[in-house]
Amino acid sequence: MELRAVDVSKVIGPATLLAPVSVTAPSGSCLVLRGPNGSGKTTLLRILTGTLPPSTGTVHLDDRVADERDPVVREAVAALMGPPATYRDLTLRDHLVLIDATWGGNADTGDERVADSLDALGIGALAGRFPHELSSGQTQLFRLALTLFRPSTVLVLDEPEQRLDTEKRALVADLVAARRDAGTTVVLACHDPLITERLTGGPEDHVVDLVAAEA
Amino acid sequence: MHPDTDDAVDRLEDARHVLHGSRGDSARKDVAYAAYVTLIVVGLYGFPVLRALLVAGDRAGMAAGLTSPWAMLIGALVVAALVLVAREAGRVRGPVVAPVPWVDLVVSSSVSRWAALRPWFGYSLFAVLFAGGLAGLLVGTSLWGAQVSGAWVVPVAVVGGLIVGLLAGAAWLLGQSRLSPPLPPTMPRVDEATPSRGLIHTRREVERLGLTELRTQAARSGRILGGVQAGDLRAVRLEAARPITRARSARLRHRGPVATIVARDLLGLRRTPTSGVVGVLLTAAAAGALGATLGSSAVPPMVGLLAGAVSFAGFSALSEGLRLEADTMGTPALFGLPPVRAALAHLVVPAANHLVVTAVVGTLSGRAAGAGLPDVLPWLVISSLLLCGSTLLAAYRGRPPTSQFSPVPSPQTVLMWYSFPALLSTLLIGGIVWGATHFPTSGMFVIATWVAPVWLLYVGLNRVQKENLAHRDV
Repeated sequence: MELRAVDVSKVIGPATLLAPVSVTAPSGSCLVLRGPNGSGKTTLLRILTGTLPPSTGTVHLDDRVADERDPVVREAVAALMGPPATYRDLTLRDHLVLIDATWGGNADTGDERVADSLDALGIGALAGRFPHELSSGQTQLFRLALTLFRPSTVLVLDEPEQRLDTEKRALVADLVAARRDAGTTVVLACHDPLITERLTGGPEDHVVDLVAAEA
Repeated sequence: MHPDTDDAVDRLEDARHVLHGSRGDSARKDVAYAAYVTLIVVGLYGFPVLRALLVAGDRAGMAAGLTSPWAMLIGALVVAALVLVAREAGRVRGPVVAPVPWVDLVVSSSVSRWAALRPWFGYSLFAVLFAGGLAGLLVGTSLWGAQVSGAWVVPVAVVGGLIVGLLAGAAWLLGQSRLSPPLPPTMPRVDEATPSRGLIHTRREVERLGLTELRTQAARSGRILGGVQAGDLRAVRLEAARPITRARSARLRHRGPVATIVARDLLGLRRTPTSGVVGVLLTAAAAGALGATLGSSAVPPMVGLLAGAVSFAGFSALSEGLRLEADTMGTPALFGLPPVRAALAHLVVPAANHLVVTAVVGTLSGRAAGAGLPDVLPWLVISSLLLCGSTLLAAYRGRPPTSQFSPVPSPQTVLMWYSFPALLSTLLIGGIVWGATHFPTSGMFVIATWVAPVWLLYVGLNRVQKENLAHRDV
């Protein structure tokens, strides 16, 4: 699915959170947003996922207005923006089983896919732990596992490199690149050169540098 | 450093002066004001309500039962339960909780821990004694005022309340202090000259408190208070909850969307069995009272109203899965099931539990009181259905309302907003039980009692959908 924002901005009272900007992420491409703190990366991601209405401009997911209240948009977009609400009484493995069941995944292959998904992020050995038993880096990998595991055609990540060591950053970059190569549209805000370089090698991939608004 | 040395006292005074200036710390005044307000509220509302409840009951029976061995046994059990709860509360938020900066900057210094923490220990000691004494005064004066007993009961109840308060306070402190390892034997005891007095050596227990635990509880206390003030119940719940480690090897199995959610809730209860047991016990107690109220006109209608409140608490204890699902509102979608269907699926476990326990216990209680099955069972079923709707309202209550004039909700608004679902279901259940004992054959009443749960369930599901759509920022 193509994600397209035209002249979107966000102003709340006297504060400009995002200066007008236009971006397009064609289907199966990767768009990386960069910029200093306060330039509006997270605000733009929230606008793109339809969780925050822009003050000006429009956002479309193919021909639909990007509004997360639309079930089609919710079905298409998987996003990691801030900590997702997890269940304190479920283990990591249980979380993924629940996600799989609610999306109608094949029950016969569910356990295998859950194990593969956790293994892919290097946290397979932690499958039986509860979320409060993870380190901050492991928690970030678990959050990524939740987001990557649910079916989606658009993947939005806000600084996925947070709290990860160099090896894990490369791992995440490879996983996201694989999703892009499989046809998923990827949009992420990122400060990490390694991930940015790995994800912008395709012909339609590109980087947008946001500039902080004056006020 | 000895706390009573001039140097230690001076250093603590200096620290207080830096923090609070020449006016000093207002904590003592705040505690006194809270006690004053509590006293007024208990005098204005607690005494008349409890007295009225006693007057409406079987006073002769109560007077006879007051000094019976059964009353003593029940009293002992209640005190034991209170002490256990206090000890458990100490693990989450103990009696000695100073502000985080004080812990970081003063308690961590070489000043005696007892000296640095003594004011907060004092506030909590005052609080438990005040609460115990006031509760005793309330019960004693209500029994006397309702002529259930003579005036002698007032001093007895006050002294009893003070003792219970002290016991609960000791357990509260032990719950907190036993989080830290024992003091090293090499640590000099400055208090060897003063032998232990009372239940525990309070000073030794306070000195045992480790910096990490003190800081954790101070920070947690701040977050809980902030969560309460902002109406962020998820934050409060998660802060107060103990980490789960049980039944790790039990696994959630994929059984299709709805069945997996039901299995999730059962697994959740297996991993937090206390919630399940408390939920079933409260539900059973409420059902027994509802059955007795429906079965006998001798039981005052007020009992049905109280049973409604307890029943809501029982249903709520079984509904953690629903609350956790409601917590996901406003975050990017992870789960594929539409929110309304997911909420309905999460109601299956608490509703089935509640229905079975209420129907069985309530019917037995009603039969014991002399009523037939048709006189009791329909109303018990209706109470379970009513609680489905009100629990939805409670889980998806969202954020407290604000106005254009006040962006921050007032404490009264937060209190009303928080208690509304419980109050609504309590009033509805109490009203239905009262109506069922007064005009059970009235067609309008019967229709109304079946419309009420359907309406409440509709309002609850509407609330789920509204929360799902309304959280988009504007």
